[in-house]
Amino acid sequence: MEIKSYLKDKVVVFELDGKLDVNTASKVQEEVMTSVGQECRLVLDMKKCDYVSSAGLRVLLVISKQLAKVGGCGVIANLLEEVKDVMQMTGFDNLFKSYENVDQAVLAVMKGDLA
Amino acid sequence: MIRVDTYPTHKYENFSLRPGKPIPFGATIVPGGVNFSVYSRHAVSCELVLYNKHEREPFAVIPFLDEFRIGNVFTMIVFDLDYENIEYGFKMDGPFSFSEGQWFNREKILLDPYAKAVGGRDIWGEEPDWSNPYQYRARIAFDDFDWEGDKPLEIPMKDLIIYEMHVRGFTKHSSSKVKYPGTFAAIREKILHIKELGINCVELMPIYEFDEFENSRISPATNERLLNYWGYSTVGFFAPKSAYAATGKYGMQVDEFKALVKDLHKNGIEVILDVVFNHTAEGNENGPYISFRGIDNKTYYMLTPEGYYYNFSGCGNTLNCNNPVVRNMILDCLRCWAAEYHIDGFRFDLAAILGRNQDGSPMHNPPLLETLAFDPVLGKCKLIAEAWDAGGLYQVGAFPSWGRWAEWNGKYRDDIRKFLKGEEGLVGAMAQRIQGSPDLYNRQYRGTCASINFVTCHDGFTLMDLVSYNGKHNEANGENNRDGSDDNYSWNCGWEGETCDDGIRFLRKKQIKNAVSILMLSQGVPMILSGDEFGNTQYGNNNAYCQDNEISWLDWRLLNTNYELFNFFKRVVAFRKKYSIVKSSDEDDYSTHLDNGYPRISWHGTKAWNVDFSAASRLLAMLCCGKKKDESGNVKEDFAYMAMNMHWEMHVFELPALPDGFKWHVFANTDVVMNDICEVGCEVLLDNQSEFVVGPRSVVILVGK
Repeated sequence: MEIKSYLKDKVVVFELDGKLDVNTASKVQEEVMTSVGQECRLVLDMKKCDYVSSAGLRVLLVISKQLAKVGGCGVIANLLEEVKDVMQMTGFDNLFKSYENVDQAVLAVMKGDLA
Repeated sequence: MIRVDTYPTHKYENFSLRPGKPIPFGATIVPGGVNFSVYSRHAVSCELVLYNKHEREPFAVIPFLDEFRIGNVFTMIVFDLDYENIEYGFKMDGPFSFSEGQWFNREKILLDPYAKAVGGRDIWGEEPDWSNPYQYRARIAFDDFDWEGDKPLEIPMKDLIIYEMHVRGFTKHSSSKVKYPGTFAAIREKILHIKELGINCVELMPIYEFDEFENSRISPATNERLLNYWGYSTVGFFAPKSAYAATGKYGMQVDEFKALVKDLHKNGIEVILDVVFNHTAEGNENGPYISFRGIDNKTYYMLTPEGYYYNFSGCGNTLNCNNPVVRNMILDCLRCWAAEYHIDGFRFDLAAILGRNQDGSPMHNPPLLETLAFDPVLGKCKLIAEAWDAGGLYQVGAFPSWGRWAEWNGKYRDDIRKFLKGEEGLVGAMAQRIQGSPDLYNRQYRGTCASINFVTCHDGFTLMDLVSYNGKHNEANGENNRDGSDDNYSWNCGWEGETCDDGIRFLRKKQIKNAVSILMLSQGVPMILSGDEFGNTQYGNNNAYCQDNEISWLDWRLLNTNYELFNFFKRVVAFRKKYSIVKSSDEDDYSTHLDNGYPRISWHGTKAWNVDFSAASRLLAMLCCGKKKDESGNVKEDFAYMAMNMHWEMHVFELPALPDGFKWHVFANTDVVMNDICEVGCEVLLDNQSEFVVGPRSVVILVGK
C-alpha cells in the first residue's frame, strides 16, 4: 500500500494505492489520523485500492468515528465497484459519503455539511 | 498502562508464545497475538497447526507445551500472527480404542469446535479438493461491528408472524433480480417484499457452516448433481456459512450476516435461526474426521456400550447434549449468536434429542433445556422446539418448557390439512387447533403462544403442492421415490400436478386462501413457508433437501402470475394485526369477563351457537369477541367471525346476533372470483344480517362493527 497525500483547496486528499488489509491497516490509520482534527477536511481517493479486508473496513470505521468525534469532515472518492459492493454488503457503507471523482468530493467537503 | 501479559514468555522456533487463557474457548484476538484454547478430556497432547489462507501445507506446527495445559484445556497465546490471513487447526494425540469410544489420530487436522469462521467451502458448489487433508479450516473473525444502537426487537410472541425461508433458495432463481443471488446480502434486497406481506420475523433454515458436498451424488433419475442443499448437518456451530455470503470469498461472512440482521431489525423484522444440535456432519462410524471425533469422541457423542454411535437423529450420530461440556458448548454457541449477532430466537431441529440422557433415555427435567430456558443472556430469545426426533420420541404438547419453550405444532399441521381436504371427524379437533390447542398446551402453564401453527414448512409439500398433488414425486432425489413423508394429507383437487383446467385452478387457489385464512385466525403463532404467498411449487417434491435447482428456488415470476394470492395473504395478515382479538386469548389486553354475554371464543355451525360435532360434519364457525381500550382510551368491542365450510356443497350459516349498534361486515369470502378480500377497515356491510351462504370448500370472514 502506497499512501500519497496532497492539498487541494485546503482539503487533504489521500491516495490509497494497493490493498487495504491487516498488513496495511495500521499504516493507513496512522497517516490519515495525523490530519484528523477539528474542522479538518479530507478525501480518501480509493481509485487504486482494489481490495478492502475486514481489518481495512475497521480502519475506515475508526477514521469516520474519529472525524465525527472531533468535528471533522471526510468523504470517499473513486470507489471501485467491487469494493463498494463489499462495503455495502458488510454494512460499512454509511461511514462515508462517496463521490465519483476527487473534484466532486473536494467540493462536497468544502461545503462541510457532510459527516 | 501496558499489561504484563502482552509479553511472550516462551519461544518455539520463530514463534513467541505465552501460556494462554482457558476461557473463552476458541481463537480470540488479544493484544499482540491470538489466544488459542481447546478442550479435550482424553487427549494426551495437542498441537496448533497454522496455514496461510487456502494453502495445503501448514507454515507452522506448534505444540502446546505441558505448562500450557490447564485441567483439560490446551491454551496458549501466539504473538505476531497475521490473523486475517491464516487458518488454523489442531492435532490431538490420545488413545485409539473403538470399544472404549476413543478415536484419537494425531495425523488428522481438526477444526476448532469454537471456530468463529470456517473456510474451505467459500463459494457454493465449487468442487473441493478432496485430497487436501484439512477440508474445513478454522479462521479468526473480528467480533466487533458497528451496530449503531441495534438490539434484538423483543416482539411479543403473540404478535409474531414467522416466515420460514432458505437463504439460498429465496433469491437464487434468476427471476429474483438481485445483484448477488442466493446470499445474505440478497435477502436485504427483498426486505420490502417481506415487509409488504406483513411479516415481522424470518426464520432462516440452517446458516451454521455446513458442507453442501456432504453425501453429494449424481441423481440416476436426472443426472444432476445432488447436494446437501438444506444444510441440516453442522460443521461449525459458531460460524455463519461462508458460501451464503457474497463476501465469503474474502472471509467477510460474519460482517455480511450481521449487516443483514441489522437491516432486518431496522425494518421491524426479527431473525430466528433454525439450529441443529442433534448431530454433526461427522456421520456414523464410516464418516470423516472433521472436529469432535478427533478432539474428544467420547465427550461429544452418545455411544453405545460397544462404542458405536447412537443414531437418534437419523443422520449417523447423536450429539451428547446432556454431557456438561457439550451442554456448555451449546450454551456458549447460542449466547454468541444472541449477543454477537443480535439473533432474536432459535428453532431447534429434532429438539427431543436435547432431552435425552447420555445413554439415550428421555429425561424428565433435561438440564440442557432447563439451562436454556433460564439463561440470562438468552432471557428474551424465543425458544422453539421441533418436539420430536428420528428415534421415535414424540413430545408435541409435552416438551419440557418451564414456561419458555414453544413448539412446532405438528398436530395443527396435520389436522388443518385433513380438515381442508374434507376428511370427516375433524370438527372437534379443529376447534382445539384454532383456539391454540389447549388440549396440548395447558392454558395455565404454557398458553396459546406455545403453539407455532403452520400448514407447511420446508419439510414436506409447499402450499401449492399440497393442493396439487395426492402423492409425493421425489424421483429427482434418486431414491425411487422412497424418501420423504407419505403422510401428507394432501388433495390434488382432481388432477395430479399442473393443469390448464380453470375449475381446478380456481379450487386450488381457493384452498390456499382457506388455509391461510384459518392459519391467520388461529390463536397461537402463525408460520408461513416462504413462497407460499405466491403459489411456489416444488413440482410435488416433498423432500427437496438435495435439490439445489429450480425445484427448490423460489420463482419470483409467480408473484406476478399469482398476485391474487399475494394480495390475499397480505390482507389476511393485516387483518390479524388489526383485529388482534383473533391472535391469542391468554396474553392480550382484552377483557376476559364480558358484560355483553358473549364468550371470548364461541363455536357455531349452520345454526348459531350450535355446532355439529358429529363425524360426518365438515362445517365449523368461530366467533371471537372482546373489549379493550384503544389508543385514545375509548373502550371498544371487537367481533370477528369465521365460517369454514369444507364440504363440497354450499351451506347456509346462521349468523350469531350482534349487540345493538353493531352490524356484520364481510372481510373475505374465498368462494368469489373478484373482491375475495377487502382492505382491512373497508369491510362491506352485509344486506342479510341473519345468515350467510358459504360456498363449497370455502371460508368466510366477517367483522362486527
